[in-house]
Amino acid sequence: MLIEAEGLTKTYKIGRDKFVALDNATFNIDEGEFVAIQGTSGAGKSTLLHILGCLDTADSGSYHLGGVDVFKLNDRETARLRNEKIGFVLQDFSLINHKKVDFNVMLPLYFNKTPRREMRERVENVLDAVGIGSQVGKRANQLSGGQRQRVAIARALVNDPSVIFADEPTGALDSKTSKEVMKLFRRLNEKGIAIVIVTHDNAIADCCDRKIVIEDGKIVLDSGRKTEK
Amino acid sequence: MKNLRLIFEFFGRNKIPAIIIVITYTVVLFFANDSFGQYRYAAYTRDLMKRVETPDSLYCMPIVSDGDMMSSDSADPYGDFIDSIEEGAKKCKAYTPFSRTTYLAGMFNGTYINCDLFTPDMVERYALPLSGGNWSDMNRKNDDGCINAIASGAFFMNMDVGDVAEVELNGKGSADERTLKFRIVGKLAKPYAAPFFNAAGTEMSSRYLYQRLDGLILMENDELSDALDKCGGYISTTANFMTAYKSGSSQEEKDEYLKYFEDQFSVFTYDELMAESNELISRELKRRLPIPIFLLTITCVALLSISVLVINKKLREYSIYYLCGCSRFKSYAIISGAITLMSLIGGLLNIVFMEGYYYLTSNGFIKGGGETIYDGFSVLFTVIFALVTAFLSIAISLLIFRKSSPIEIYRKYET
Ligand SMILES: Nc1ncnc2c1ncn2[C@@H]1O[C@H](COP(=O)(O)OP(=O)(O)O)[C@@H](O)[C@H]1O
Ligand SMILES: [Mg+2]
Repeated sequence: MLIEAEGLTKTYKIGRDKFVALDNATFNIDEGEFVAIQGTSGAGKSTLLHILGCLDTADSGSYHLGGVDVFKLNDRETARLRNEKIGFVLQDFSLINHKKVDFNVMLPLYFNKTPRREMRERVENVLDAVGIGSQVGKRANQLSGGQRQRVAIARALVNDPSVIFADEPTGALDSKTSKEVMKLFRRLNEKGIAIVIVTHDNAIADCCDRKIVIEDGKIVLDSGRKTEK
Repeated sequence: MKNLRLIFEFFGRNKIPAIIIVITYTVVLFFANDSFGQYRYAAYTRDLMKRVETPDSLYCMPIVSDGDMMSSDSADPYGDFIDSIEEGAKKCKAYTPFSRTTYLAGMFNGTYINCDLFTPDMVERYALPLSGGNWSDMNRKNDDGCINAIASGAFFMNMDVGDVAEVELNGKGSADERTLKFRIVGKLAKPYAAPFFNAAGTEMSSRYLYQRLDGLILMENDELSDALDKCGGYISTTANFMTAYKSGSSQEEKDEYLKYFEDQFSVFTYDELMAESNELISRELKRRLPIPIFLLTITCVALLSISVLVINKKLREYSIYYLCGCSRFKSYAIISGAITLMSLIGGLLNIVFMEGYYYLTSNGFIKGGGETIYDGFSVLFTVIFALVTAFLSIAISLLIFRKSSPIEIYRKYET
């Protein structure tokens, strides 16, 4: 089992009030799955994704990623987990805009022990894999939205992750580019990488093998794996 | 190496302000060290004077003009003149031997140095602070024909006590006759101040009576006289000299002695010299300290501001680092490293300059009056300033950095 989430709950304090953004979410995701977490705006999708991505912690519940009890790890260990096991793709592409494509893609390699001479080669490989090998020398802000999202995906791939978490990866793209990006995710999934995509868009969710629907912080529907049906 | 690259990334798109800050930091620290050094030199020489002179000391300046002296056909007109004055002074009951600046020039390792000749009486009285060796070793006998000397200044930086320096003195003799071997029995401590009785200005403060010596101090004994006779060294004496009332003299004897000098010299008593020196120090204190301290404060604030500014600009970048597997602790380290780097460059440049100062000024590479001190204390001050400014900037920057979590930044950039 890749992801085992049990009773994940997150509350935010707003003044004196408490706001439950994530309410007792329990589910599992297997290795190599292609999952959509779907819900309306404010449903708690990002909150959940941040916890699954080891960027944030829950107030209660437990979370195992690849058998590791994530909430027991310290700052350095969680960072290492993010670095080695997880790739991220966010809606705003989360690239360093004034830096060149290769630096952006290389960034995760700065936080582990990859030898310097290997770094460039790995960057070229992943850029070719996402189909923008020709853009290495450009700065991120010189690229189109679709190209930027590919750079972000290349960066997510550079450390051979077991899972990619994508938060509205097509949110800022037109429908044609969105389809291409989804196709790319599909291709990566076929190579065995689990993909978890957060989206409010039904069409996007339909491209995935499994839908987990979340409303007001609660999981209201889990379709299970398509292949199992 | 990777971490270094990440530290340099801190300055990405902020290079110009960072460079300006580093330059400002360096210049201000330089200015402050120079100002403090000048103030400290004034204080140092005052304390030196207190130590080596007695309250009975008298500083005498002849009223005769240089022109009169130049027309004399003697090789050392002031020396001869002061000799004749001393002969006369011996008749007074309060007489003590004169201290004067007698020197000759020479070449050491291709550079020009001065050799000060101290009478045995002066060696005893002006036992100036040493960084190594012993004044008493001046009296030691050498069987190898070397003459004892105290070394002073940057030219002897690489020589140790016990080493032998070959100096080619200026004189009439052949190069062989003029080349003498000197055994270093001691090294003067920074700022290499030695008595120099040539001050002719209106200001009679310790700062001018003790000036930097780049060269050797030799003791006038039979051995040295023989050697100097042989090489025919061109010895000169400066115009002024120091003497003192013999201790235990009665008031009448003192008055008689003072009267003897006052007829032909401007005479400054110890109290007058001290008053003048103290006045100089308080003037220096007012003049040299406030502006550098003000500038140092401003610089500290400037470093702090630029750090905070850069951090605020970089919050998103660091949230992306976080995404890519950079721990929070590591981002603190990167930020601390980058801020430290700025103050470190400024501090290091200053330390390098201060370490090289005596060498550079002695060689004339840069102009420097020598009336300043750059020593271990100046280095310590620089290090402490660099550490304190870096620490303050890091502390405030990290406080600000901590306040916004990467999660908040991701939400901020969501559309
Ligand atoms: N730091 C916070 N403080 C208070 N409320 C928050 C905070 N972060 C998120 N929320 C709230 O939690 C809910 C879920 O947010 P989010 O997970 O971003 O939703 P989604 O991604 O599904 O649109 C929203 O109502 C949001 O306003
Ligand atoms: Mg969201």
